[in-house]
Amino acid sequence: MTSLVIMAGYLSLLVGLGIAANRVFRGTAADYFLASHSIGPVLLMMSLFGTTMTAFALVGSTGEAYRVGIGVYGMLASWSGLVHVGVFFFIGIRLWAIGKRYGYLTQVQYFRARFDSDLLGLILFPILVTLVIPYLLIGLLGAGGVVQSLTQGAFPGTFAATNGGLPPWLTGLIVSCAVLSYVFFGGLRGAAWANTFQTAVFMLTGLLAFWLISSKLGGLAAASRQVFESHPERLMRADSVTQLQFFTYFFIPLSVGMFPHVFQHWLTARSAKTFRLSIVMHPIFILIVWAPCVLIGVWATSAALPDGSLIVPPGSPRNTELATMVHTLTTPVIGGLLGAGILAAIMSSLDSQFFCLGTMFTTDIVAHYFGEGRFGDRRRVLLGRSFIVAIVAITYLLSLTEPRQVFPVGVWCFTGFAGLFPLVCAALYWRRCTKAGAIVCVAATAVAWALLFRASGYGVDGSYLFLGMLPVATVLTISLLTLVGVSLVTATPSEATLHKFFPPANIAAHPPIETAAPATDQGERP
Amino acid sequence: MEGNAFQTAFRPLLDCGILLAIGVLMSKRAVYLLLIALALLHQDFWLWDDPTLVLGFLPVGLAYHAVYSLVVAGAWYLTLRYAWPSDTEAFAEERDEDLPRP
Repeated sequence: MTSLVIMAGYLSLLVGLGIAANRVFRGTAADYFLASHSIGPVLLMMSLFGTTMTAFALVGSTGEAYRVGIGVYGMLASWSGLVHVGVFFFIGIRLWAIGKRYGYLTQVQYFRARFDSDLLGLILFPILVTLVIPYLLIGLLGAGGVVQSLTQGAFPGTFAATNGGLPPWLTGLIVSCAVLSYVFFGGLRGAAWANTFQTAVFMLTGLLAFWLISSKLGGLAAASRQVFESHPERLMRADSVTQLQFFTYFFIPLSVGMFPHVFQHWLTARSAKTFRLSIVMHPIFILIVWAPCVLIGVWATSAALPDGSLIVPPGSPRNTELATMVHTLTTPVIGGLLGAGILAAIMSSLDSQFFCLGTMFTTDIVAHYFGEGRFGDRRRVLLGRSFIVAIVAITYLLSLTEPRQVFPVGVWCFTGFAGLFPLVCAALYWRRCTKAGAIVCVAATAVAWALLFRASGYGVDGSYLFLGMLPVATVLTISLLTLVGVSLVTATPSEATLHKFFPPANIAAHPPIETAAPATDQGERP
Repeated sequence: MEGNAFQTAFRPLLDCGILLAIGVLMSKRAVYLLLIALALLHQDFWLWDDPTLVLGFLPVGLAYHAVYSLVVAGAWYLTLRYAWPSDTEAFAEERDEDLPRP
């Protein structure tokens, strides 16, 4: 019960933060959706990190380390330090510059204009929304599993089926409502403030849990020595991951380049220099969060109670390894704090994702098809909020029927976004990339992803490989080949478009643009 | 862990540290080469079946990638210093009232 009270207090604090952000809300759509480009280096760093680290980082990494060992750090964490930051540097700063100059709010707006194609936006919108929903599910699944474990015994009569723990359906409902409230009131500024606070909370509580768990296991050396003696295979990768599989995890973090919520966070930056802190600190923050979680997961394979029984016996429910270790080895107060930390990690991603979907609906569908001037700022904000409520409800209902593990669901979601990475890369750096190439690339990526997802039993087969590699390698190759192949045999973009999106090397010599092609499917010259 | 074994495990990253130092003295191109070298060094096949514990508690495969994360942060610092996209920054700040809005 103590854990539950601490977590409830934490959630109340977040709702208060959203209300506080609402007090400085300027009432404009630009302020609600992009915080008026006012976010500084620390807030951007914490927002980007909090947004990219979700249940996948804490709950998923611990669970996967429990099952496959230390390889999980190299597969995702150290790759992410290199690749995420590469994407921030080569893609993020450039998109921020274009977005700021032309006033874009969403990816779809940018791609529509870059390729002079309304059709591309029409195809891309549902694909991006469909891919964000599994990402949202990761959060709700993770939260449900963790809170159930941490609150076991709190309500023995009411929730007997879950050993007295809060059932996942109720946790999902509470988390959804909490996130909804501060996003609803605070807009992207509220989400950025909450992300900063939550990132600090989950990093500190994670370290605290790591220290306490290692102490209870007899110290760092004793905990690892126990694994060395009983499960040495968890301390290496020989039996759990192939070299090729390990390498192909390189492609997964490329997904960040196409996350709609990360795009929106990039656009909030006050200036390009705001990115600098994120670029240097992101790999270090990943190390601080992931390494302890992976070690706890590995220790969980061998950690035993005084009677000799394992704390996390084989066959334990998925996504509960971290919470079970904390619940068993620490006090309820620490359990509550860590529970709040895990919820923080989960909610710091959920808020941005819910929010970006609201922005996309308002901008890419309502304003685009019904006319930019038809709705004032107040009505646009209202529409954005309404769509966010609808998406939260849909995601919550889906989470009630979603039985899969956090890690495979996450990998499939990232696979889809990573498959679209060649599109954003080519849009920014390849002048010859055409509208037809972009449309075929998006369609081919969606089809390849759907076929492979089906072949994996819709994510049920968590270890599914295609040609010995992660499916992302195949999806990305198909995406790249179609983009390049079709672009090379179709008409080049118009000069006006190229001039608009490819500034000359010497910006001082960049003349003003007098005309630009509208976002129609007629923009290319033969 | 034996001293020699430790050196063998981490030698590639030490080499990368030397590359980092060279990067300081060199240019944008050197920084990009360093990032490519780091991407290749991620594949630590020589530690694949080694369960040795570094400092008595850290599996060597995990220790390598922990150090790798720190080296990557250093490499990105150099990238900011030597390959900062000033043109892109200027492009964003440039004011042109005639520009069409989406």
